Formats: sequence, C-alpha cells, structure tokens
Amino acid sequence: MNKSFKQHADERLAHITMSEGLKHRVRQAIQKEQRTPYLSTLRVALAAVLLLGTLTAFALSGGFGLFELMGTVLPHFANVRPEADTLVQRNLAHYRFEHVDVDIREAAYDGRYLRVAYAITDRAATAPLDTPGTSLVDGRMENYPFTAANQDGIWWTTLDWAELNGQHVNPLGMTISVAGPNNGEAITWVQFDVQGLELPSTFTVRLPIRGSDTPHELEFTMDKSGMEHVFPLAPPPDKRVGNYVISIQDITVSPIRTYITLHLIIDPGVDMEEAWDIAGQWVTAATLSDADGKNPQQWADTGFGPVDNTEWVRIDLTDGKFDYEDRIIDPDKPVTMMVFFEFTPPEQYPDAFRLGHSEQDFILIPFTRLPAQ
Amino acid sequence: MQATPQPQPEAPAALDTGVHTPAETLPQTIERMMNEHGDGLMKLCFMMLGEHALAEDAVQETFLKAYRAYPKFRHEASEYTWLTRIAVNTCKSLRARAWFRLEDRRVNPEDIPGLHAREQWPDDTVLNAVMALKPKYRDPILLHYYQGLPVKEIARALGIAVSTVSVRMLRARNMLKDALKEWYFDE
Repeated sequence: MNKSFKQHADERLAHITMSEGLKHRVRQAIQKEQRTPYLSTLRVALAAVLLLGTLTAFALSGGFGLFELMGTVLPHFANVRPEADTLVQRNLAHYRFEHVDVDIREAAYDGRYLRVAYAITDRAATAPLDTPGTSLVDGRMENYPFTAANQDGIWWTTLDWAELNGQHVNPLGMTISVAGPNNGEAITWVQFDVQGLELPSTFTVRLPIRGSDTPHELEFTMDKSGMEHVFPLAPPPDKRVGNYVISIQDITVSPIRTYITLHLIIDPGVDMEEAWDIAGQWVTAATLSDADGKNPQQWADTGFGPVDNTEWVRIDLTDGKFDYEDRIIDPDKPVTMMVFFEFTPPEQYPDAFRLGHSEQDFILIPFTRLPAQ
Repeated sequence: MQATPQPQPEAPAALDTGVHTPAETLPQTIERMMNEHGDGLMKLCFMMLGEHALAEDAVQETFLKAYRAYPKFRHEASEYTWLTRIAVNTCKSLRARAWFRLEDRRVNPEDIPGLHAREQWPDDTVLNAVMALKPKYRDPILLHYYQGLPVKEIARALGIAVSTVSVRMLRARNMLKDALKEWYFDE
C-alpha cells in the first residue's frame, strides 16, 4: 500500500460527509441568529446608556473583584446595590499545583445564582498575561495559550458543573476570563443556576478545577449571609393585552439583579410565527422602570421560548431533505411563551415597577414585598 | 507507516480557496465554505470524536461559530486552517462535555465507552490503529496527516507548545509503527 494517510482515510470514510440535512441545520441556526440580532444591538445600546448611569460600582480586590469582573463583559454588569457586599464571601480556598496556584477569590450566593471569581496564577510568569482586564477568551477563536494552566490540566476558562452540598448544578448565563493585574494571572467569573436548590445556612461548594487527565475537585464552604436582602414581590394579577395575557410568574429582588419570569398566554388562533413575534418584542424592547417610566433599569440577561402546546417537528421535504419547525399541538388551546429577564437593580426601590415595551404592552408590579426565602 | 523524517504536507489544494469574494454575503460565504470544507471537517470531527452524531454537532457548531466570527477573520491563515482550528476546539469542548456528563467524573475521558463508539466505522486496520491512540496523540496525527497542518499551526490549534506537538507526534508514530508492522505508508 503506497498512499497517503489522507487518501486512505478519505476512501475508507467516503460515507462520512456533511449531509444536506446537516447543512440545512446550519442554515437554520444562522437564520435564527439573523432573526435575533437584538442582543448585540441591545448590549451596545445599554453600554452607552451606562455612561449616564449613577449606580454604584464597588472597588474590590484591587479592581478585580467579582462584580468588577462581571463589568468587564459590559460595564453596567458591575452595577449592584451596596448591600450586595454582604452576599460576597472572600478568599475561600487556595490550591497549589505543580505550575499554577488556584485561588477562589470571591463567591456570592443570592438564591438564584452562585457566582464565583477565581484566579489561576502561573508562578513562573514574569509579566501579566495581557493588559489587565483584557479578555482571554472573547474575540479569540482559540483559548489563550495558558501553558502553565494547561500543563496542570486546570480548567481556567470556565467550569461545566458544580456541586452544592452534593447537589449537581449547571452553569447558566455569561462567563469571562480576563488577564489579571499580577504576573501570570487569569481571573475567571462563572455562575451556576441554583434556583430551587434547598440548602442549609452553611453549605459546601465543589468545583471541577482540574480536568480530564487527572481529575481534581476543589471544595470550600459558604454560608447564606446577606440573604435577608433577597426577597420576592407579590405577582400582580394577570393583564390582558390584545390577543394575549401577561402573567408574572415570579419577581425576585436581589441586590445583584432583579429577576423576572413572565408568561405570555397567547390566544388560540394565533399562529406560531406570530407567537414568536409577540415574545420577541418583549425580549428585544421591554424595559423595567418605575411606574411612571422613569429610572429605567439596565438589561443584564434574557431568554424566551414556548413552554406548552408546541412541538419541534421534522418536516420531510423533497429529495430526502428535511427541516424542523415549531408547531402548535392543539390549535384550540392557547400557547404559552415564557420570557425571563434579569435587570441590574435600581438605586432606590420604587413603589411599583413597570415592565413593558409599548403604551399598551406593559404591566405594573407593585412593590409588595413577600418574606425572604 | 514509515518512520522516516516527514516533509511538511501541503493542505489539500482543493480545500483552500482563501479570501471570500467581496460580492458574497456572509450566509453565502458560509454556504461556500460548507460546500468546500464540510466533508473534510466532517471526517476530521468523526475521527476526533469517533461518533457520527457528535461529529455532526461539532460541524454544525463550527460553521455557526465561523458565521459569528467571520467579520473579525483577518485572513492571517487560510479559511481552511481557520475552520480547522475552530473545529478542533469545538471537538475538544464536546469531549469535555461528554466527560462531564458522566456520573463518575474521575473516569478518564479517554476511557469512556461509547465516546469512541465505532458506529459507521470501517473495519480498517490503519484507521483503527489511529483511533486506538489516546486523543493527545491522535489529534496531532490527524491534524498533520489528514488536515495537512504544519506543526506550528497544530500547536496553535491545540493550545500546546510546538515542542509538545513534536514529541507527541514522534511517540504517536512510534506507536503506529508498532501497531502497523504489516503496513506502510509514504505519509
């Protein structure tokens, strides 16, 4: 046999191709992104608004505390209320590996997220990894070549799971790794979805700090101090707007974020495309403000999608091609779209919030505090 | 496979078209790249992941990332090399996710049954020998002998030092030499 490995592999794997179906999946994913350009636009717009913002950003850990780290994604992400500091616990763990040190600098639990800021430091480095605050991940198609961390098998850009008192939780939302101000230092923010988790006043956190070759999990203890500042508001009655009903499912006020989950219950007879449009308008244009529209809060995250009476079905086209689409299961029943929002908190809590995207499409949420959870 | 010094292989000429035409819209560019590079990337991802469905996920994600990042693509490398880098990182990420899905995370991902399931895998001595290598040895071999990347590009794609790539390739070739005593390749 006298041929290149490539020729040989191509012949033997001739049946492994990028099928039309797969190309179609890519086109569909791209179309979906084209339909939702709002996020990048919104982020830029909100970043500009920040210049006029008046909320407090804390100076923590020499400028690279948890909240300031979040602010490297978008500056206003650092905006939290002063009592957020009571949620932050510092210097939680230190581990020394062959080439790098790992420090869990700060972590904050607010019942919705566990946010962690940790530093990985190459002990042999003689200079910062990059200009302090520069992302080591975003805008790069490959990770920054952090050789010392890679040699130790450290997961330095993100973490794929955590355990809180033995309960598995997943990462959710944004994350970032930036060059720190010290030599050889990368600082990473990661957050985990802890909603609904039942935890005692003191609990353990386990993070998979070292990966596949030599697994190593890092453990530390936290408590729930500061949670008295986190509380739900009483959801207002549902409100009908045109061909759908706005139903606030949950609104939780935290010094770090205001979290809102709402359902848009869309009348029977409205097709799926319009249902997406109705929800899409909320996602792209809704603002949270005082009842009179003043003091708009700043967007921090959002998500949406159908929660009932819909299915994702395959449609067979000609020539063996196929596509997928959302379809309403029972056209005689309403379709519920869920929209989830996170906003940075207001400087002063209002008597009522106004959440909406037009003169008609809005709902008032009285600031009726329920007991802290 | 001969253990003789290896010349730098060239990237398959048909795969490298360089800069997109200014008249192309971004979706058209992605369409063209899928037509030109899709099959090759699919084979690469299949060999890296050993599972058809995972390879499809990796290729889909690769082109989606390419779509997002193309406006920032400065053509310092060819489209082919650039896409390969994205695909390699995507495959590495998928491997990690497969490992993290396991109940017992102390299991080495290289030992996960099913991650390298041989569905649609040909009964082929050479490919089986390559697939039997651990990923850290297999990846440089695939990137060099299948994708045609020079060592420096492999180091960049895998996020490891050039010297590490060289050492792993040398060890991999020695392992393959033992496994394929009855066979030989020019490259």
